[in-house]
Parts: sequence; C-alpha cells; structure tokens
Amino acid sequence: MAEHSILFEGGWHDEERGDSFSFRWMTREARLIVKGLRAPGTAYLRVITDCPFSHKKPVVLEVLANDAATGKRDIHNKWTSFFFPFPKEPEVPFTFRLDRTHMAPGDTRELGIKVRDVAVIDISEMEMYGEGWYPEERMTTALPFRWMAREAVCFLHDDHARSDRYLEIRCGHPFSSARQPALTVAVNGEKVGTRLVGPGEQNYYFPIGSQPCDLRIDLSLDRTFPSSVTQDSRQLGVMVRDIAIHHASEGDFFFAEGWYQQESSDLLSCRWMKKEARLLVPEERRAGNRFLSLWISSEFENLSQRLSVFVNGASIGEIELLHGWNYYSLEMGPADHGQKKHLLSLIHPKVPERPLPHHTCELRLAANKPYPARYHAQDGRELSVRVSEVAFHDNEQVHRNSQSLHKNAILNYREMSNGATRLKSHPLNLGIDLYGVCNIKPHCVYCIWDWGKEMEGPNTHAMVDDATLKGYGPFFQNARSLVNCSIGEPLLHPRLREIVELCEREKKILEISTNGQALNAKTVAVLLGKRVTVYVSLDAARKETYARIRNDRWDEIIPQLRLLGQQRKDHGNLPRIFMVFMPMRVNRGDLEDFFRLSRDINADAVVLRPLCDIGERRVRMERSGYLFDYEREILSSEELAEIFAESGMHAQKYGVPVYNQFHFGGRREQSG
Amino acid sequence: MLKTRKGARADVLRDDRLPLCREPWETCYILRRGIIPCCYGAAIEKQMSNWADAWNSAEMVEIRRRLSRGELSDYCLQTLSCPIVQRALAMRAAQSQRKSFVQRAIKKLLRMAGFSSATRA
Repeated sequence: MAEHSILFEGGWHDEERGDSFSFRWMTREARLIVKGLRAPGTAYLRVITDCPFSHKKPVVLEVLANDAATGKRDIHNKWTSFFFPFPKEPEVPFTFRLDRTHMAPGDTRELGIKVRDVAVIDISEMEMYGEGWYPEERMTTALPFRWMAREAVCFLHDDHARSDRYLEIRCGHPFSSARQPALTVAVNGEKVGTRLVGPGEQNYYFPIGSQPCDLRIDLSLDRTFPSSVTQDSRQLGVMVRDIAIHHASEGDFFFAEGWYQQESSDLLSCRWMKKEARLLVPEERRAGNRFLSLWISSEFENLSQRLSVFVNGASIGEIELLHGWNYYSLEMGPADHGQKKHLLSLIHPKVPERPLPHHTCELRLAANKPYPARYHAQDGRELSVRVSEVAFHDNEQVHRNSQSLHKNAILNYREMSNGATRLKSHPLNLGIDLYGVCNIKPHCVYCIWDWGKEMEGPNTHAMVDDATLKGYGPFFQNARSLVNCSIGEPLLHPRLREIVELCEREKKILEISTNGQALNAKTVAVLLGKRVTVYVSLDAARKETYARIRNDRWDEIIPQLRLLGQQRKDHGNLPRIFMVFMPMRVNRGDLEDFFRLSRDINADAVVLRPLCDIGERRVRMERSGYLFDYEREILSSEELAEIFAESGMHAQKYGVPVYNQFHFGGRREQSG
Repeated sequence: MLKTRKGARADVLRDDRLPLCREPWETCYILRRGIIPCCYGAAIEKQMSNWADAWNSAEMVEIRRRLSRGELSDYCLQTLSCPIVQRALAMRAAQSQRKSFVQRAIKKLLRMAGFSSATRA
C-alpha cells in the first residue's frame, strides 16, 4: 500500500505493551484519520481487536467512514481481524462506536475493546481468507480445508472481467443426519445466491458476471452445527476446501451443480445428471430466442421418468422422457434481461425470490426419479439422465416438429402397451434404402446380393434421396431415427451431403452401415460433426482375413478410418463409429486384434452382429484362396458364447465397449 | 423394493405388458425389396411406394395381434434369423423337453406303484 499515516484522535487510551505486541483500549467512541493515500484502489481498513468482557455476550463495534456506516462486527474475547471498506479518497476520518463499555476492578478508565495494528490494505495484497475462518486443517492425506463459522469473508483478485465468470466454492460437511445449512454468498455487497450445502463435498457456483476485478466475498450460513453433533467446542458451519473464480467457455452453457464430467455415449458426448442440476449462461445468449432445446437420454423405457425444466425459476414444462436419445424443444416465454424477479436459488425451494445478478440466465433441471442404482452397480454415482447439446433457438418449425414427434412417440407407446394393432401413431424409426449400388465387386462373400437384387426388381435403381425422405410426410417427421438398410453402399449416394444435412436440420439420428471403402476426404467432410452412427462392416483385423471376405483394399480403408477417427475429435466426436464384427469361422482368430484396431482408430464401440440364417439358400464362394461356405461359417451357440465372453474381456482390456446384436430384443440385466 | 410374485425384482424400467417384439409398432422399413415390418424379415408388400397402406395392412395387424398376446406370428416363425424368434423357439423346445421328461417320470412312478393303463381300464 502506498505511503500513508494513521492518526489516533479522541476516544483512545494510551498505547500499552502486551505480552508480544502493543495495543490501545478504546472508550465507547473513538476516532482516527487515515491521511496521505494517493489514488487509492480497492482497499480495506483492517482492525485487529479483542474484548475480554465478551464471555457472555459480544460487544458490538460499528465503524463509520466519513460518517457513513461501513459495517458492524461482534467482538469476542479472542484476537480477530476485521475488514471495513475503505472509501477511495486520500483522507478518510473513521469513527469507531461500541454498544457498551466496562469498568475493570482497580482501573478507573472506561474500557471498551482492545485494538492493535490498524492498517489500510490493498485487496490485491490481502490474505484470501479474512474474518470468520478457523485455521487450516488437514484430514489424513486429503487436501487442506478450513471450517467456516456462521459468517466469513474472503478476498479474490481476478484480472479477467467478463460476463461468464462464476464463483466456485468447494465445500461440504460430514454430518448427513443434521439439517443442512443454507449458504448465502454476496460479492462486493450484492447477493449472488443461496445453496443448501449437503453432506459430502461438492462445488457450488454463483454468477459474478463482469464485477470489478477485486472481489470481496461474504459468506453466511443460516445455521451452524451444534456441538452435540460436531463434538467440537467451536461454532462450525461448513468445511471449505477452495474458493476460486471459474471462467466458463465464452458464451457456452456452464454446467454448475448436479453434473458429472463430460463423457462419451452411444450417440452424443454428454454429461450424466444427478437428480437435479443447474446450468448458467449469460442472459444475452437468450436474447431473441423463444425456445430451449436439449438432447436427453433416459434409461426408462416405460415413459415413467420425467424432467421438469425451469428458466430463471419459472417452470417451462415437464418432459415425459422417451427412451434413449431424443431431441426436445420447450417454449420459454419472453426473455426479461434480468429485470424480472427470479428465484435466487432453485436448488433450495425455500429461498425467497430475488433478482439474479449480472444478467445471468439460470436453467434448472429436476428429474422425478433417478436411474435405479441396481442397473448400474459398477458405477456408484447418483444418476438420472444424460444431457447433451443444450441450446437456445428461435426456429418455430423445429420446435413444432419436435413437439409432434414427442406426442407421436407417446401415443405409439400407449398403443403398443395397450395391445393396439391398427395404429394411429406413426413409426418412431424409419428403415430407409438410400442406394442400391455397391462398390465391392464381386460382392462380399456373405452378401446375398443376387437374391436381394432379384427381390428389388426395378426398384434397385429408384432414386431415394432427401426429397424422397421428406415425401414420407408424417412417417419422416415423426421418426427420430432413420436406419439405412440398403443392399448397396450409402456413401456412394450422389446426394449424401443433402441427406445428411436434412437429418441434421430435422434433428434425426441417421444410421448407416458401410463397407468403408468410399470413405475419402469428401465423404468424411460430409459426416464430420453430424449425428450419424456409421457402422463399418469390416469383420476382420488383418489384411489376409479381409481379403477372404471382401477384397485387397485393406491398406486403403484403414488410413481413411483413422482419418475419420482423428478428425471427428474436433467435431464433438461425431459421427459415431461402430466397428462391426460378424463372428464367423473365417475371422475366428481376429477378435482381439479387432478390438485393438478399434481402439487405435478411436472407434466408439465394437458391434457383434449375427450372420443371418438364409434358410435353404446355399452360398459358397472362393475368395483369396479361401472357400467361404455360408452354412459352415455359422458358429454354434457354444462357440458364440465363447466369443461373447472373450469380447467382454477385450472390451475391458482395450477400453472399447461392445454392443451385442445377438441379444436384440432382450431385457436389460439388473445387478444384485 | 418391488418384488414380482416369483421373488425376482420388478423391472422398473419397462412395462411387463409390452409385446414380445416392439419392431412392428416402432419401425417401418421402406426398402427397395418392399415394406418390411422388422429388420430380419421379408417384405409384406412388394411396392416400396405403398408404405402408408402397409403400416396398418392386414398382415401388420395380424403380426401385432399375435405379438401383443406374447405369441409369435406365422410371419415371425418364418423369420429364423431373428434373435427373438430363436430365443422363443429355444425356450419352447426346452419346455417341451421338460414336459416330456415330467410325463415320462410320472409314467415310471405310476408303473412302479403298480398302476398301468391296463389296471386303470
């Protein structure tokens, strides 16, 4: 701090010598003047006090700067530092006023409190933890923490004043049976939120917007834990591990409380949500947008899981969640740019309404029930749904389509569970046939090409493109996924880009099976960042095996797959790459290498797909010195069981999940 | 904890009254080889342009009717590639085996106890 002087005026007794430092007694009212500060920044007057008469009831100290109140503090019988805001003026008179004084035996003076070391401190030079903290502690090898009393203050300095900054407080307590304290936080005198602090430890986030870089953080609890609970004579509130400023990615939704780290899934990169969670985003992101959209995946197939959505405290709807990944759009009502009253804390319903500060928009999501733990015993977390791609939008048509799709899906489920046979609803998934031509000639050894083309007849060369898909009307509009089942190679389609873009625009999930030989710079560019699941029919992990099933283009296809796997990292890991392995006699020795290869090319999963029973048809074909006899290639149930067990082990070893299509239509396992 | 009558825990993620296979309700395959009700099956309608009519055609209604009663339709029984059909047939074979085993055991016990079709007559 720059040169300055502190002059003690009326109301102070003479300086005395204590055991290790000097101090002064104060009378009921005393004055001091701070002089000589040139261009003071954000600063505080630090006063260290003690009052030996406060055993039963603390003496109350009120401090006025320039005759304006700056704060009141309870002074206990313990040397404690207090901080009072320092006005940005070169000369400031301070008045110290007490609620009572005492007379000590054998001392004729009027005694108030003892004061030592009055100083002006610039915030950037201050200790982070101010008043209301107990000394740092450490439990075994864990990181240090400090207990907070009922009220505490800390100081932070941040050089990046921008709108999407959040105060991150990592805290908790070990008392699960006691009533949870509510923590209220104020930044530079403005309340920014209240959160119930539960047992255990977690991060709590508070919007601080573009506040000045020097922050005074006031924390207060509605209660502390009684000594009977803590077995500690101190007044203990919560354990605070860390307080910091968190900078969110500019403009993005910030996943605050109730979320786990981003992870991969069968379709989208996502986060698992606890039963309840909050997101924060600068209010300006919402401006002009009427709708909130998000992708949600529920594990419940019976529509019994619901998600309530609140924007700035106001409910905008309760979603009856469909099974798996689905796109939802909800109407929000007009943006109020922070002027309207909002619920300050939505995690804690009893907290009174207050405006959310700093033009921050808050989304709260609350599931009516969790994903039961017995279905994910290997993952001990509290889980409800997976969420991805939260966004605002203003596309009325997309909103209407999503509503229609959702309504149809619910009707479809009701009809199915009620045993209806003539349906009013439309299908949820549409099997499509994009292209009837293939680039592998002669065709793959297990492909019943000739039979398929005979069945297709003149339709083989019929055009099926984006216009055809739109022409399916409600069948297209109400489908959440389009699954290409063509006997042909879809990546050769002349309007592949238009088809993929239509699906992307209409929020459809597109699934295509490809031999991968048409993957090149052009087709990879079409697929990057799109919600497409690409099933790559490889069936081999070695050049020799591949040649026995398809042809000698192994050395061309693998680099293209690696390129796709690499490039999609910058596009939200989309498209999804599923490596298809049809267990047969010809590739029986390739299984482990197939998992290794899948890991190496950054694939999402290995898919075990059955070699179909083709009835009476006989398929025999010689390829690369190997006689492929379809009937002989089908493995026995015992051999398949071995493969499934091995696949489970390889999936663990190589970190690539396995999806087994042999279990199509089966029930999900429960553990325990 | 929810328990079923057999003591197993109820599956709270799905309804028990769902059909044996959901495909004919949830999916429609509009393919060059025709309109197909399931990913393992053959076409029930050859013209790919007749998708709207095929959705509630007599064949589809019959397939759904049988599946919703927990049975396999004739169409399903011809679709031997389908894992659901394979499982159902395997279960049926196992039940049949168990049934004949029990019948044989009862007959044997009756013989040992001195009963036979001749004595009963």
